[in-house]
Amino acid sequence: MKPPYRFDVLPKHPPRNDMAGDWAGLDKGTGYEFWGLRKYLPGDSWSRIDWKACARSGELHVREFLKDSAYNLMLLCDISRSMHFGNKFGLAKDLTVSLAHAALRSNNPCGLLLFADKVLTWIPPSAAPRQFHHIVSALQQAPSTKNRKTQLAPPLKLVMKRLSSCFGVIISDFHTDLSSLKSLMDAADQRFPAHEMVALHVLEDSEYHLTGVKDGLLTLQDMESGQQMALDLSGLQEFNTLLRLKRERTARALAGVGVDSAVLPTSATDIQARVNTLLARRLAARV
Amino acid sequence: MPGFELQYPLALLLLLLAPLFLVLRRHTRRKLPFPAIFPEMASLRPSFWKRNYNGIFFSLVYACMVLSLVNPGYSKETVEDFIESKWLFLALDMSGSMKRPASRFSDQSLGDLALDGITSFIDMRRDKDYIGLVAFSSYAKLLAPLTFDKELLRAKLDLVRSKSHSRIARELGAGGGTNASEATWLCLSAFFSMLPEENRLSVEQIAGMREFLLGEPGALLDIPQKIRHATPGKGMAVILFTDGRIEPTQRAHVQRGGLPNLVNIITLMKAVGVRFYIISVGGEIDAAVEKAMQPTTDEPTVGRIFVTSRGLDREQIEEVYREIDILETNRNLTRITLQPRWTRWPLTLLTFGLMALHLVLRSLQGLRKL
Repeated sequence: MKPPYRFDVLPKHPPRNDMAGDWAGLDKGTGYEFWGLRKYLPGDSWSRIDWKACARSGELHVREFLKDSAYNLMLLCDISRSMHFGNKFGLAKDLTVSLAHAALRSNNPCGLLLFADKVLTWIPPSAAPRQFHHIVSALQQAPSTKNRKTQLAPPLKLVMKRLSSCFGVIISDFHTDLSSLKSLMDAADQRFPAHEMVALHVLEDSEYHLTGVKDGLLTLQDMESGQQMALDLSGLQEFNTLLRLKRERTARALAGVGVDSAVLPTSATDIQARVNTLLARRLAARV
Repeated sequence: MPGFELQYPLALLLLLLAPLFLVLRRHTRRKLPFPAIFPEMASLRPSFWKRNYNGIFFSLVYACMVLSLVNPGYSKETVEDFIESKWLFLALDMSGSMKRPASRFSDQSLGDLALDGITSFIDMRRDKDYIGLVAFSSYAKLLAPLTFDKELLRAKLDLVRSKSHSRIARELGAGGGTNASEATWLCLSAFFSMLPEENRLSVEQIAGMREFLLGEPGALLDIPQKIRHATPGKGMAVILFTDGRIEPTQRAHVQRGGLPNLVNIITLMKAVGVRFYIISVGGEIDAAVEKAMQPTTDEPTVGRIFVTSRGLDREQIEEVYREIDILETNRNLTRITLQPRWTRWPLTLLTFGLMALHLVLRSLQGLRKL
């Protein structure tokens, strides 16, 4: 399957994976990224002695480097009922495949977690050559879940438990209670959180901005809870305002726990640019 | 509502299915699946009318359909006033004696003469007068009930003429007796059955009253309260035309009984205020009857006895009837008729009207379902 988008996956924080990669890790090691100088200690390799610094100071100094590392890209894809509204799941699949391709292309381990109200599929991160195939197959054979609700806690708990560090991308419509996220995430409090999360907020057009509907009565049924509500669409503008407020509330709740997010309507033609911009801005905002 | 009734009351049980239909409609109504409904959307809920007008109209249409099956009915009360009408019954003796020629040189019988007199009398009456005809010999026969139709009366009178050779004339002419008491009672029964609804006697009540009239004169008469409260009789009169002997009971039937006593009938007529006139053409009046007709000091007069010679001509008879006409007073009558009215068709029309209104409302921009 050819990925529809080309993403530049840019983690905000240095990865901690022991596996060598293109990224300068958080810890010092045998990499190419210069870290600093320190006084020579017995046992240090002579090849690492910085002779210019020795000439300036009259003492032996050795150069230290950051360890080369790779990030663990963990894709958390929501397959609850609400994600099957319109073309949301199609877009989520495209995003997942494209992100996995981008990570695996540069030899970064990538894993997949499909969830609804619980974890349904778990593929641990790997940079193996067939990992991309595994991910694509898992997406195509995504279980047609009878589970209705979206629950973020079970997948996040699993990721925190199984992986010591990762760069997670949550692809969901976030029709769930986000108030419990604070206790699950460690990103907000730490300068270099082990689990770095990004949210891609996938929305169908009518969830984003309802247009082309005239006055009338409409009965909506919540795809997840089954709750019904009749709406008077003579207040269409008010309805769109409510949708916008809901989006903003979700974004604020995610930002409150250190999860940056981008809204991706299914009809948007600049999906690739939006995601790349989000990742690039995060990196630029790194302290 | 007077006379309210249901034609098929069991159909009301169908109303019990209405909640079931409402629940089914609620479950099967068209819904648009939406990813999430959040509490803030409650501010966009339609008003009570917009939310429920569908169910309200469905309930109304269903109720109307069931009621049109049940078909409730009521009685419409119609009040008709008859002003200045008189109720007159003419009882004509058709016994064999009435076939005698009126005079030696005349080809007309006494009966024909009497019929001419009656025809003249009918022509003299006003259009609003009710006139009935009874012919009698050994038994009495109702020729015509009380009617305004003078043509009908004339046609009935022609039937009993001696030259008509009709079946009625033959049957009545065959009887030799003069059963005046039965004829008078028949006239009274016709009056009682023509009273307004609230005072009208049933057949059983009339038959019961007849039992009292069979006894000896002087027995206590049981007059139903309906008749007493009706105070009829201001414009009711029975005119008996005969040439035979007028006596309390017919001789041939004395042994067997079963005939009302004319003295008792006269007493009843006095009590209820019906006037009684006897035109006796050369006949005899029994002393008991004559005595019963005489007014006492505390009783109003019940009528008169006209005794004429056998050669009475038409002018004399008309003179007698004119006198009767002067004697009578007018009477105001009210007839109350209850006509059943069924409501199936109005309810069916209402059902279709409500359905049409519902369709119109559904097509309005603000109320249509998306």
